[in-house]
Amino acid sequence: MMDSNSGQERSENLFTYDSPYPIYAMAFSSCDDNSKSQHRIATGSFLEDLNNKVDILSFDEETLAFKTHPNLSFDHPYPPTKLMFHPSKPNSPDLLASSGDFLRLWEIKEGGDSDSDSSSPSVVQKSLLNNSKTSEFCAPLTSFDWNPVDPRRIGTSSIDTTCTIWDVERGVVETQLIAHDKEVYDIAWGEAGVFASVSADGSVRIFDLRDKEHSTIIYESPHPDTPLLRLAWNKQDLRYMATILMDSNKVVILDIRSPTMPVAELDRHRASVNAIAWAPQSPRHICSAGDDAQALIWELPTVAGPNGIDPMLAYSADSEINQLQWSVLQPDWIAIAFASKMQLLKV
Amino acid sequence: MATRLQNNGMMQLRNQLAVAVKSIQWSYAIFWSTSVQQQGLLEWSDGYYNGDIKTRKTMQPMEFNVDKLGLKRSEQLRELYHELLVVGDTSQQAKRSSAALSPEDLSDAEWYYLVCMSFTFASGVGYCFSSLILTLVLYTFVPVHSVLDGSKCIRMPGRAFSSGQHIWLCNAPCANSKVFTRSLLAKTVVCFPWFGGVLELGVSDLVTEDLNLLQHIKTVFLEFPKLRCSENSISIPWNDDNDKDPICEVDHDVLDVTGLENYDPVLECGGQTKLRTEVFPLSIPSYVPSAETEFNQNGNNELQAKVCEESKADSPDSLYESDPDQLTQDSFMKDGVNGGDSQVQSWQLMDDDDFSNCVPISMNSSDCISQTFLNPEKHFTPPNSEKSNNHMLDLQDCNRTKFSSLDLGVNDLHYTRTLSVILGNSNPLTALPRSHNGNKKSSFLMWKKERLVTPQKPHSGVPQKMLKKILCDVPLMHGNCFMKVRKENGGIDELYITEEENFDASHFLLEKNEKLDDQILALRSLVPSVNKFDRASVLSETIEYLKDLERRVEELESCRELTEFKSKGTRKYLDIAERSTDNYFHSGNANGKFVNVNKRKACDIEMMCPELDWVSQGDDLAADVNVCIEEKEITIAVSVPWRECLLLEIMEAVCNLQLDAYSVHSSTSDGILSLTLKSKFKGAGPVSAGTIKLAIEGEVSRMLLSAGTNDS
Repeated sequence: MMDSNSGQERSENLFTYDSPYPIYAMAFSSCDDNSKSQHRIATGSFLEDLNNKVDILSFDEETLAFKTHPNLSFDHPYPPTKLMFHPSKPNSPDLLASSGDFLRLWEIKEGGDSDSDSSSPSVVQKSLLNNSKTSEFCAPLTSFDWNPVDPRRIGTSSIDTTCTIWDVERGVVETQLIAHDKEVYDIAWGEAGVFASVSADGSVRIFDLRDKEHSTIIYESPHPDTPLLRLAWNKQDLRYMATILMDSNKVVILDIRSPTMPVAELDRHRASVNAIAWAPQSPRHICSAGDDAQALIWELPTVAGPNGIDPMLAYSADSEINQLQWSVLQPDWIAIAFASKMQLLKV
Repeated sequence: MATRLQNNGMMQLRNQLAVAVKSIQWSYAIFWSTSVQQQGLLEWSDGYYNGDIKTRKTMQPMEFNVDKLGLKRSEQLRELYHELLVVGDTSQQAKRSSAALSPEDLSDAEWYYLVCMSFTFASGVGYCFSSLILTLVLYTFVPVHSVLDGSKCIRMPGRAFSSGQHIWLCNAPCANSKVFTRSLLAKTVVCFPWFGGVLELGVSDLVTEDLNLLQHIKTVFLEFPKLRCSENSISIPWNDDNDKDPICEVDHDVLDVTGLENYDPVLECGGQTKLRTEVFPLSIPSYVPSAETEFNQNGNNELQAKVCEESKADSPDSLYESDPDQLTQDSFMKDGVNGGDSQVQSWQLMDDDDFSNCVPISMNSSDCISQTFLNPEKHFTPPNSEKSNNHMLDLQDCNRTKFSSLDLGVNDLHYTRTLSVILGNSNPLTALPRSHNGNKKSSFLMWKKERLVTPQKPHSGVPQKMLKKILCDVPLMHGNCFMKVRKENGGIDELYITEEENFDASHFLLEKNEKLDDQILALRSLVPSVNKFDRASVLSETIEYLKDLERRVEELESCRELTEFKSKGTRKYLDIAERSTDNYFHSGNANGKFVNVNKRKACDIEMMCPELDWVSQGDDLAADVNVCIEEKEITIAVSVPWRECLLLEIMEAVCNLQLDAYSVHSSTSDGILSLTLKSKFKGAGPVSAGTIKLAIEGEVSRMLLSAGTNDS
């Protein structure tokens, strides 16, 4: 294991990792086999060729240093559109999923002993999941979500208008639904059998796996066919979800009880929003990041003021923030990615 | 807030307010006293809230009886107001007891009451007595008429103070904002001087001016020893012993004396037994929804619906809170679902099989308890229709003035401002939970509003550049392989069907069908002779067509070997259609004669025709027409025995097909007219190749036949 302090700042609350490549995908591990002060973070490069990589880093809150693990870097020819660790603590080893041309599962094998320093950990591709039976190629995947309640399930969204629900333990497709009229851009689980998706057709739809015939449209973008790009379901209060629109500075907060009418629109970003994440520990807080290089933390008021909602907290990065993740394991940390930098922010 | 009386005095005052307002079942009473800091200014001294309560919070619920709760509530509201102000000033997070109210616990009537605390009024008189002023406001939701002459521009409590007269204001929201500045919820407000101060009473219903009622209120106060209300309040009948409830005793007395029945006729014109069920709490700043909604209880349901819609549309943000209320009601009405469902319960519903049905309506996790503890029974009787009619006339007038003054009304501004101050300050009250890792500060700063909010352009110039690349471009990178394989599979991708029996395949069938349909349509446009739309016909016709084409190719190859073109006996003329005829010099035309014309030049050809009259009469009357559609471009190749005016006729036929010919290449050789015509669709819908072919063939054969009969 190599110790690399590259990019670390001697700031008490802000840590930067400089990657050799532009970063898009990023994920916090939920696996707390390590000590509490250890973060495991995966980053995916974004190169418009076939030489992309996924790196798994660790950040030590004691030494305040990032560590890269050459053994834990692996090739991922196409840029990963999303990375996500197993949502709940698995027995071991830790699992990482990536989407792109396929849904892939990677197993991170710890070193021989519990002390990971004694022998080198490694990554092996555990499975490659292709939802097309006849073709060696899978319809391109825009995103996926690992069901936190039922970790056997992963839902993927694809440009072929479908969502595929995988049983990743058995490695089989559980179901595949034509979810939208156009490309599906994001998918998010609400509970074990309920997921929602957003699409280029501008709608947010909720699906229940027990009744595949029906879906419920709970929001449609105000100007028809304005694509919805990302979706985040509030895991603390499942009534609420948030979505972002193409070329819009708004974060639209939806209450599934009031279909089609957003309960709030957070519009204090000065440029388009790129990423959203609900606070893992609070039902009323959400973080958003955008092209204005700002990460804003909002508190949703019970009563909306007359002049809209102002964010509580703000952080300004150096350039457009492309990615945002809020650590579930250690909820006082948020990671953002801009250009080829990944930053850990203390909330 | 100045004039802090001694506790005892305050207690007594509040009790008196409570007695007064409860004896007539109105919603609140406010006592405005003169400010010690600023002479001539009336400000909040005390009040008693008797209206609807949304969320009740107490430390020990069993501790209070019902009447005590009313006092407690008023206290809590006052505490909340101070707390909000304090927090706003110092940004400190006040320590709150669990029983303390939060802004979200308030009903809109309580909001009104709370916001009233921020008002001050110029008394209009330069001097003040040190004695107290009581103001009782009765506020009502249904308009009657204004009793005010409106001649003075002093706001209401102040005016009552300076004039020494009582003022009875009905339908307060309709009133001139100069008269009553808080015209938001209160409909009927009564102010009268009392002990040199102003007493304000309000009720959530319509009440016409009634001197008896007024007298009753005054009596309530008068019946209590005035001395005890003075600043010097030496002895208080019930002291601070709150466990003993003074109000109950008084209630009995007063109610017995005056008899509520006496007031019923008055109250009837309000006729509101239903209190604030349609209220949108959050719309208040921009609208007066509750007031308006209640107006329309008089029968104008249409307007009501409209108002509701408007208030929704105007303040979508506000639905954040108001919708749960409404949804709750809806589900009450529709399904009879029990109210007060908690969030948890809602989600349990979702666990049931009918998730999708539940989503729109049953998520009513409202924690709203819209009932008045202190007024379990409203004594109001249904509307007196005669009076209501009169009121409707007034209502119309009122509405007009109100709507026009709504946007810019001073009162609204103040209300909005106060609300935003309170709400703005309420944020730190529920700070984001953080792990208590003391040595690390947040990377985030408090968000500050920037004065110049200029939209910021990303450096790259393209908003959401990377996100779009991930979503749109990256899929295409590997999507190309994907698509290629799809094509190789004949354009129909056999989608994966799961092993599970309950898998819903209809979606796939649908998608397959759509793709198939597209391909069939494409095929159909390639085959000229297909007239039917069903797949089987298209396929069988295509097979026939392909066979025919093969046959022709063979013929063409054999014909090529013939040096002399002996067309007699040949069944068909050669298909000499050329789809890429940029080269006008058609190699097959021995004499090299060609005419490249547009439509206008067609006349020239016609004039040339007689000179070229070397028709072989015995030719077959067959015309060989080939039509090829490539996207929007149609190439029509015709090979036909030459006849007079034939070219013109063909052009006409093409024209009739709504085709716009832009390139015509024709030549005559060995008595065969070869015509290659390129055109575009002029009309709306594309015509199928088959239709074009048929039309031209028909035209040609008609011409040939008629020419043949003429010749013979």
